[in-house]
Amino acid sequence: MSIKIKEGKFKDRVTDEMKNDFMRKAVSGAQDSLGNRRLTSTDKLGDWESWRTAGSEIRKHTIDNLVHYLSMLSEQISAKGGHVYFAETDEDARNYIKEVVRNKNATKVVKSKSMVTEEIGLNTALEEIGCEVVETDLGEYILQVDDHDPPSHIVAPALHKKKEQIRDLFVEKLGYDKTEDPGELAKHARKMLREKFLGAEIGITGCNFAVAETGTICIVTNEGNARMVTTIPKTQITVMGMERLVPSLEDLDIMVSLLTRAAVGQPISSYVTLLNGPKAEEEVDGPEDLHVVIVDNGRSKILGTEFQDILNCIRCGACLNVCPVYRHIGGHSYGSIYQGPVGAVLTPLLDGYDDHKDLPYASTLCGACTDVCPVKIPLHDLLLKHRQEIVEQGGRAPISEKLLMKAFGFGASSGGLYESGTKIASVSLKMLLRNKETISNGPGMMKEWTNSKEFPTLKTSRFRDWMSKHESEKKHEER
Amino acid sequence: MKARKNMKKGNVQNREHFLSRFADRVQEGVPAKRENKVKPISSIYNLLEKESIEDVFIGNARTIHAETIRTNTENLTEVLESICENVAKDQILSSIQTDNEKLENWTSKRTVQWTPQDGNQNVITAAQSRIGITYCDIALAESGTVVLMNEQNKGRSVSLLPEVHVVIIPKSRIVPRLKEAMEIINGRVNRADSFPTCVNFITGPSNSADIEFVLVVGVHGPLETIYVLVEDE
Repeated sequence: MSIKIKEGKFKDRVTDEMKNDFMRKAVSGAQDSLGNRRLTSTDKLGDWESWRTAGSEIRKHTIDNLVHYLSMLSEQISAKGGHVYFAETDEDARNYIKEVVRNKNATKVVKSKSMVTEEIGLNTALEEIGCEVVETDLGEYILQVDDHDPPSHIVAPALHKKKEQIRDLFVEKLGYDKTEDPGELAKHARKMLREKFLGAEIGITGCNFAVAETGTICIVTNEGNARMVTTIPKTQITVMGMERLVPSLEDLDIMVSLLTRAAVGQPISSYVTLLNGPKAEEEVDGPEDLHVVIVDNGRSKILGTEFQDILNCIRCGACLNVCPVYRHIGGHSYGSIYQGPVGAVLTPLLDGYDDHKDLPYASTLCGACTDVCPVKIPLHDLLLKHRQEIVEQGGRAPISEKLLMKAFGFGASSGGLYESGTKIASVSLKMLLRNKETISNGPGMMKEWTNSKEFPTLKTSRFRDWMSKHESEKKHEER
Repeated sequence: MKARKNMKKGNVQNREHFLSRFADRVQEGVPAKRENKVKPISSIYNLLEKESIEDVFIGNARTIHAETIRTNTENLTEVLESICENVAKDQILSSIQTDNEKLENWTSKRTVQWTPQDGNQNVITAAQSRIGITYCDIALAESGTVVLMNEQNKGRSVSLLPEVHVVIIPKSRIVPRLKEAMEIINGRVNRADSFPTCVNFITGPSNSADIEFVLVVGVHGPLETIYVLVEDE
């Protein structure tokens, strides 16, 4: 997998996804439940706004001083016996990791959840050199067993799947013979994956935060799979985006406090693991070898631009959980491993406008994402900036918007045309009413609207006419 | 803790070129010491003025499916025995460092102890054990969390592979929240001999909501967590 997960047009994907009633119910249910849990946990913490402010300052400071902190981090990891590789591209990262795996003559790889490894297409690369790569996060595991179905939520990747579908999948692929009860399904996955953990030679993890001052890798999970991945295999490879660090352990307290509450409404997740280098020689479990791969893959291009704030993102998924557009179109519509508002901002920056120019338009600009972001990224402003950029680059705006703007520009530039156009509007709309108050099946571009909601009819009198009448009445009264 | 033996520095590759590509777009040099303009404060401190820290800890542990048994130093081994009732010795793995002689005697008689000299056999034992018993370094009242700093005598597998994780928590080790724990860990940073290679913050049994958002308790880690809170003051 790479950033892009689906071919075809955004509009077609949305049309397909909107027909998936289960997905839509699952997404709205998850949004409501996660939203409530987030609010309860942030209320309990108290003074959430000052936590957000502090989090935002820490992230901004780190990114502003990225050269300094990345140098410091790599020194610290190396001082503790870990190896660090700076990968400029996805290919560099894949090649380095393949080399580490080859040098170990290893074929058995277990992975905990990592978006950046999806982004660089690591699994396929390792499979090509003969490795068995097993995803161990329950959601990711389900998707992998289902022939690499793409994730639909950055925190809950299998949100779009019904338990009955998962049961059928387990029956077909994993010799499962029990019911669709999530507890029984999880138990089966536990059994299957326990064997994989105990036999694994290489463990690959993501990184929620690296701490520059101490060379610490911090991994946040609930299932305990990342602990398995960092306890059993003799070699650990941690892959992190170059922006995923904080200066100190003091800052880590604030970032973890923000992350688990914003993501799942927990004061802390079941496991927060801090790893400081490989295991000591006299220790029994833990990796003998630790490799940390720091990946750019397009991130440094964002530095110093008006989009820089997106590098502050801590991947909590809170913006997905409040977005009215995500609620209706679901994760797969975005066609990216990064969905929702953050995905709509980040995907075109990392992977270009060519395949993703529609994403900045998948927003009502309501600003709910910006309000909820635990590190105060102005997400909806960045979406708007994308739209400006798309228009300025020319020829990239969606056709409907271009046509509309062209027509408006043409009509509004001539007094006569504007006059007659606005007069005709209400008359022509009446033809679509079919004895109703509202329009349910509009033609052409109006279809986009009427597919999902009623179009209100225009008043027979125009605002301009009403205003001039009102003005003259007012003058009359004053006299 | 002993100093790490034969510690060799790791390699750093491609750093200079990597950083040079964007050095002109970020700040140069070492940033001035930074203080957060806003210092966020958790409401846990207000709560702790009204309630005892152990009550807050136990209450929060309950919400994450961890049962707490309260006892004192004198009765600790009886409590552990009641938890381990009917479980054979080779089904119980412990990694406890303590100067409590009674506890030491009980663990040597009743459990298999984590023994670094036995190497990987420890992990195999952990995978076959029903119960893993650990002794926590720090506990957090705000979230019902226990903190284990792993080292040679305190293996990572003990709190991970057995189905049941039993944690002994001396009352004196409970701190309000993550902040204090980070300060304690940070205090060890400059002491290379005692900075742990792995610190685990563990909050109840493992869980997942990945299938239809239904909470499943017990995924890859323990299915059950029992806290034994010991009055030690």
